Amino acid sequence: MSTLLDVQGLTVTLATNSGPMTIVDDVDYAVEQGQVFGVAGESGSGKTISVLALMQLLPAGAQTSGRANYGGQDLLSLRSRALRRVRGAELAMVFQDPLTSLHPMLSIGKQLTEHVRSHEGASRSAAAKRAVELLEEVRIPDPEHALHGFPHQFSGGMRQRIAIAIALAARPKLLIADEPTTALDVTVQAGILRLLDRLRRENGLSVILITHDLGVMSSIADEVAIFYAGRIVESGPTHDLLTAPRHPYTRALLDALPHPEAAEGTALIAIPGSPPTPRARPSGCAFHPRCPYASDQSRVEVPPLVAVSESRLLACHVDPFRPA
Amino acid sequence: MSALEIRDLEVVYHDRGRGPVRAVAGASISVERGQIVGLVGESGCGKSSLAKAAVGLVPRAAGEVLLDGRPLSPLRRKARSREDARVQMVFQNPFASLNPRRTIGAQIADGLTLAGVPSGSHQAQTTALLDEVGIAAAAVGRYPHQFSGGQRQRIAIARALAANPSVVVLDEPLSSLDASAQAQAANLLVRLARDRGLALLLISHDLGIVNHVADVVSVMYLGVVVETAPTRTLWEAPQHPYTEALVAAIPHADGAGVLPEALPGEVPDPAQPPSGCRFHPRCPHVFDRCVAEVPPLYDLGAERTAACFLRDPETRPTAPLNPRETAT
Ligand SMILES: Nc1ncnc2c1ncn2[C@@H]1O[C@H](COP(=O)(O)OP(=O)(O)OP(=O)(O)O)[C@@H](O)[C@H]1O
Ligand SMILES: Nc1ncnc2c1ncn2[C@@H]1O[C@H](COP(=O)(O)OP(=O)(O)OP(=O)(O)O)[C@@H](O)[C@H]1O
Ligand SMILES: [Mg+2]
Ligand SMILES: [Mg+2]
Repeated sequence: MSTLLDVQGLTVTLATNSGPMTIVDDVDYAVEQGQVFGVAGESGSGKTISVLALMQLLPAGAQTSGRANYGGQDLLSLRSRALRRVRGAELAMVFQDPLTSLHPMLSIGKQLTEHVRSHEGASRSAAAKRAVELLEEVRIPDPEHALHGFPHQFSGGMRQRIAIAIALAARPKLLIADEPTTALDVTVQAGILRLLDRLRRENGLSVILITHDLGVMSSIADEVAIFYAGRIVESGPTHDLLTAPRHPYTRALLDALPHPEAAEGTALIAIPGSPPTPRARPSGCAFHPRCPYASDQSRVEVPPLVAVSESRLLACHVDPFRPA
Repeated sequence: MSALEIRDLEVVYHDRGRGPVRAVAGASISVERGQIVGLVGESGCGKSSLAKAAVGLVPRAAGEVLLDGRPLSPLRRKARSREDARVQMVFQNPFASLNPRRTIGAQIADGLTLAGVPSGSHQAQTTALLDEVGIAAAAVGRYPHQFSGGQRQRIAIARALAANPSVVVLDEPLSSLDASAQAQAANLLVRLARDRGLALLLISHDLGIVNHVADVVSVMYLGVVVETAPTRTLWEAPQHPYTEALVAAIPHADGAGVLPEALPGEVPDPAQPPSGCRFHPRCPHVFDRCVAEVPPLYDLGAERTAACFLRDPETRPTAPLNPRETAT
């Protein structure tokens, strides 16, 4: 396997009315060709902002540092022409809010064929044919008719699938999918996961998949990185990470999942305390105020993300779940 | 008397260039005070349409919606009276629940005003509501776009609660939350139902959460309710083949790397629903009758109903459907 994207030291600071705020803090990861790289973690931990940075789609006033090596160029410093070319043809994004991906006033057909035509130079009729195929792939009923529809005429999950079709239209090499299946029922979701899996096997598509659904993660991601408060706290192969989490935050996240066999009336186990806000990040390990294992060192020193085995990285001074 | 009763509801959209789309084709659901009813089903089957009709945001083509036995007055988005505030909705897209141009504090205050809370106690109540959904009170002065997806969802829940409703319809309220925030929000929903006696209709694709918090679950397929049952029994022994397929496609966080099964067959189009049982073209158990006749909702006892000819008491085998039923 070859590395398609190599992110190093990615740091993002957003401008807010009360001054700059660091949202993503020194993040490193690599995505291999044909790999599904999963990103999970705390809501508000900077997952979306970190991928918007790769696409240079951050809100005005944002500052980015670090590198994102993609085919010998740094995505973070690409200028507009090169950026447009890469962003349309090689990198595609499915936004967390599907309405961001869709233009409210343009028909679905226009939005889909625009993409196909500008990147493949296809004729109008070839583009229309491909648009229908794409809608079939994402399982929109009556695709020919759907081409004439406008976003508001589709259900939440249909919009999400149309956004996926648009992102796949230009046959990208890297798909950044931010919660692409949250609005889908499990059977339709299974269809989308199978589609991504097929594209990865047949075309070598790489995917950065952001999802809170650890079941989805388990079924398709090769590697997972767990975010907390703007940093990666743990990463590794999906199976290892889900069956033997090393970071206390990862463990707490898995413990919060509902268990089908739980006795009736039992409450779910949320992590005590509040998630940190970017403005008031705790010192040392940002998880320390909520962590039962925190040490004095955790309170003062930021734990670096270091290799703890051949395939796993961990950012914890205590490492309470180290295998014996 | 149910807090929310939806009877034989139909929602029809009229699209130019196309016949009418019957997105909801005769669905009945009721929610008691203090109860959480889960509504699940295929993407595009009409859940949001049903929800919006239940709060009066899209017109009903047929059927009734009763709140505490009284018919719902047609709502105008602007002039919502205190009476109308009895039912609140949290939208699938949290942007739709929140006004982008106003601070979240101001929006929560609107709800409080609607509920008749004197402005002197707005600040304290806003803090309490935000605290309940796990958002730092210091955030009141910020605008919706300055929050992450999951944070906006929780703010939308807080805003709905501010109006002190007796019924809340929640359309995918937990979908952008991490497992811990989801646990917290799910526990909150349970508390609201148990302690405040709220009636909650919870639309969600997260079957794990629905299984955990809902008392009763209704399953929709292409505009109709195909099965309703107490949560536990629905999961243990689904009685409709569509429910069976749903339960089988739940992915598990066990690291096994198994891709769940998708439903085979064409995705149905509500503009041209199949004859007979709407699920028949994709059903592994289909037989002649399913193509020709529409199955009614059979009462299976133990508060269960299912619309499937396999459950017809006249023709079905005498063996019990599941052990629980024989026990009662
Ligand atoms: N435009 C903005 N201005 C100021 N702060 C912002 C802005 N957008 C996001 N934030 C803040 O940045 C942090 C990270 O947001 P981001 O959307 O990346 O989170 P996330 O990990 O994707 O969360 P979720 O899982 O809920 O989608 C959050 O605390 C959020 O409040
Ligand atoms: N404004 C509209 N005009 C025309 N058709 C519409 C409109 N809104 C929804 N529909 C159609 O009605 C059907 C049901 O949509 P609805 O949003 O109720 O589904 P849903 O069950 O909420 O789906 P999801 O789980 O994807 O959110 C879909 O086929 C959709 O295309
Ligand atoms: Mg996000
Ligand atoms: Mg919906």
